[in-house]
Amino acid sequence: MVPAISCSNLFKNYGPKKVLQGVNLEVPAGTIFALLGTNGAGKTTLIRSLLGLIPKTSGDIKVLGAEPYRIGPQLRQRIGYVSEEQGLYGWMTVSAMVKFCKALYGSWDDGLVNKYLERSQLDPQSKIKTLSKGQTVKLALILALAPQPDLLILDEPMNGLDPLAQYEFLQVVLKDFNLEGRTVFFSTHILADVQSTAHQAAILHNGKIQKVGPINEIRKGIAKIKAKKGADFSSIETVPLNPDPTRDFLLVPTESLPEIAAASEEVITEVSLEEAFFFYCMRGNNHD
Amino acid sequence: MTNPVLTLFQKELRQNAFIYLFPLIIIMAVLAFQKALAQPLSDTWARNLAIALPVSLAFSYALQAFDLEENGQTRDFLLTKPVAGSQIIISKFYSGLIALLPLTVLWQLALVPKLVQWPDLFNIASFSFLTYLLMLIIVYSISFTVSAWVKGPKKLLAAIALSSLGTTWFFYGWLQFITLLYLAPVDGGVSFLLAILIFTLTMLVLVIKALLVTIHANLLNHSLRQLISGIKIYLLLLLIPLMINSVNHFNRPEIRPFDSLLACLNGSEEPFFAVDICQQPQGPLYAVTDVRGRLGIAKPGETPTIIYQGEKSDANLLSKLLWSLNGEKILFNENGSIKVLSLSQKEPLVLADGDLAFWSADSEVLLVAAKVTPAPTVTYPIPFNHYRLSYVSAATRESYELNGNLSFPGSSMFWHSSLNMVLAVTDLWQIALMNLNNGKVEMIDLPPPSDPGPIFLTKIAPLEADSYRIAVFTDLKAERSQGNSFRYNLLLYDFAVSTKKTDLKAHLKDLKFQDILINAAANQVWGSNPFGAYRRIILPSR
Repeated sequence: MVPAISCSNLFKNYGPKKVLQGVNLEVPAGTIFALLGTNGAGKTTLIRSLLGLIPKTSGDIKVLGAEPYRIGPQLRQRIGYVSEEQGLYGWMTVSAMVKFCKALYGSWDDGLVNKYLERSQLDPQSKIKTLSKGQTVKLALILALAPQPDLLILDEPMNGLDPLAQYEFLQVVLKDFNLEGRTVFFSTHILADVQSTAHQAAILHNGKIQKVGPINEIRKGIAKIKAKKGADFSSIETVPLNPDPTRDFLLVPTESLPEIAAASEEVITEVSLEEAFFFYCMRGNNHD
Repeated sequence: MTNPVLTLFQKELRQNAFIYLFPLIIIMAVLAFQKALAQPLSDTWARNLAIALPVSLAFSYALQAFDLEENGQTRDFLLTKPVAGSQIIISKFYSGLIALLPLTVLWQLALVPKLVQWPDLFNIASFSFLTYLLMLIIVYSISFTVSAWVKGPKKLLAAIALSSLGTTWFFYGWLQFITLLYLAPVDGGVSFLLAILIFTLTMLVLVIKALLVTIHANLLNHSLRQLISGIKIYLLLLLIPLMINSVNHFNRPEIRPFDSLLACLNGSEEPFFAVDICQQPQGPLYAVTDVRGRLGIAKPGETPTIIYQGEKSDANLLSKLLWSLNGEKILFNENGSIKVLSLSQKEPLVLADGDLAFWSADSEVLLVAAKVTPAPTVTYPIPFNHYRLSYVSAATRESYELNGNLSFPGSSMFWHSSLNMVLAVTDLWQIALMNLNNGKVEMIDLPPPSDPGPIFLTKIAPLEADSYRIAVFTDLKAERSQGNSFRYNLLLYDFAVSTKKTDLKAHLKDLKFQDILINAAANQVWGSNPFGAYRRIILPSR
């Protein structure tokens, strides 16, 4: 099966600043895939590169099997996108915006639009510029879902949504959408969003993918240990959870546990996604 | 799904409604002030504003075309919709243009109504107005392109600089093309206008297409290599003005109606549309008359220099040019008077009333023929022309009238002064040799072609001392598709008086030249286009 998104050795520079430094990523079709990263990790740059909105410096990208810079209107019918700023026309009313978007798509689910507009209590006659941030995000998501795209790309979709709306979007909307075999690729730095929703995730840090795979595998790949006094861990990668590593826990790769078992006072193999994320980001910093 | 371009176009009009309509409010305010003020704008100021304001509107509409998307952060939203980048660009481009053109007309109607003219390329005011609209479209198109490529305040400077260059380039090519048409041996009338229209629209469409392709490349983040690859075919457009200029330069007609079309348009040069021509014997000069009845002389490849303005400024009729054999004087008929102008004099000498006149070999005496209408005594099956002949001294204007009339069924004749004979070409495929000393007439047949049509014109011109070139024009047909254009056939004969032999030099068919100089050189003839540009006609070898 053709992956929904694949990119290999993707580089993107803004002048001297290297934002993406050899990103390799494959998003299987039909999955909910989370792109995790700290602020400034390059998530938006990666997404905009995937959509052909900015030129890549080098590397290969395929979205639904096509080069993004050559994606024509036919393929764009199959890709939904919501940017971090949503980018809706503030001077339009909600209904005019719906009408405008509907006119551009071959297929459009009016039932879905009406259902979610009603559920979100969005007045069709309201000007978009008068909507709250959360309402604007909801409208943008509705507009992205209505054409029932094969691939939905969302850049920090939960920003601005209240907890209830976040929950509804992640647990109801996205899962419903994914049940129909569609792919969702979304970026976030709120890890709670991911754990219960995404099938797979990639951790992007310093312009590189530090880890990619199913959420559980990412978590299982890291263990937390309490080191014995005077123990030497210089032969393995470790990330201290506290500034003073002698007093607290260290994060280590699970595969190195046998090697350091004797030096560990306590081993916890069940780490949270936040801890795994912390390990990969901090390791990334050390590497760079 | 409705047409995406239409949807986008509607969006653009609504999105930019205020920007587009704001000038309309200003126009109404200007009109109100014009009416209310005791001293309205002076004509000069009104004219300057009427010209400058639409240009500033063109800059303004074009340069803000992408700003609202950038400022409102809606760029990515729009670009990820299932529409082609070209459709987005086209909708933005044409919405601005469609707002600009009517507003331009409104501005000018409000300030200087007479600037607005209905399209008519023969009317200079209308021509100027259309040129102005064309310039606006080019300024708008180039600025629109600049707005996609250059960000920030410097884009105005870039737009002004590139629009100036682009407009200069376009109009230079445009004027070169019109010059090419003026100088080319083509028909006038509809085809001339059609050629200008087709060239203008083609160039405009290609230029706009090339500019939009560059914007598309910018929108899709194409690399420089991709950009050049996309527009390389359009880069040839840049060469078109130079190519046409080269054609105009290296393919100059023998007589040009003007040196610079631009100079003619701005009034610093007056075109000379020659209608009749005569070559100086053994000399490089041509004597020419134009549609306004002026007399000029021209060297090969040059524009005529006016040496005589004509007695009437309007409807002056000046024809029947003939150089004296020594090449120092020009004989011509002006409104029924035979006049002679020496190259060393400013004013011509009026010799006599008449229609035709011919020089003696020593250029001292002229034979003047004046058309008369005697009382009909015999009815002929075809019309005859009757002339009263006189000898006139070129120096003293003393005249001696010959007895009787010279009559023949034709209109062209020539005085062979050394034998005091008149050669006349009849419409019956004959040459009449009439001896003025003894009144004897000798008829010599002109061999007609196998399928002779009716003769409508004949010409006689001297070649050498003893021989003449005779032109017989036949089969005149009006071009149905083009109002005042004609086709005809031409037979060229050489005739030697001493041997009385005729030799058919050429049979040219379906000619469309307005005038033909038959003795440009022994084996050449010159044909003119409707604008008085004379070019050599290659005679087919026999």
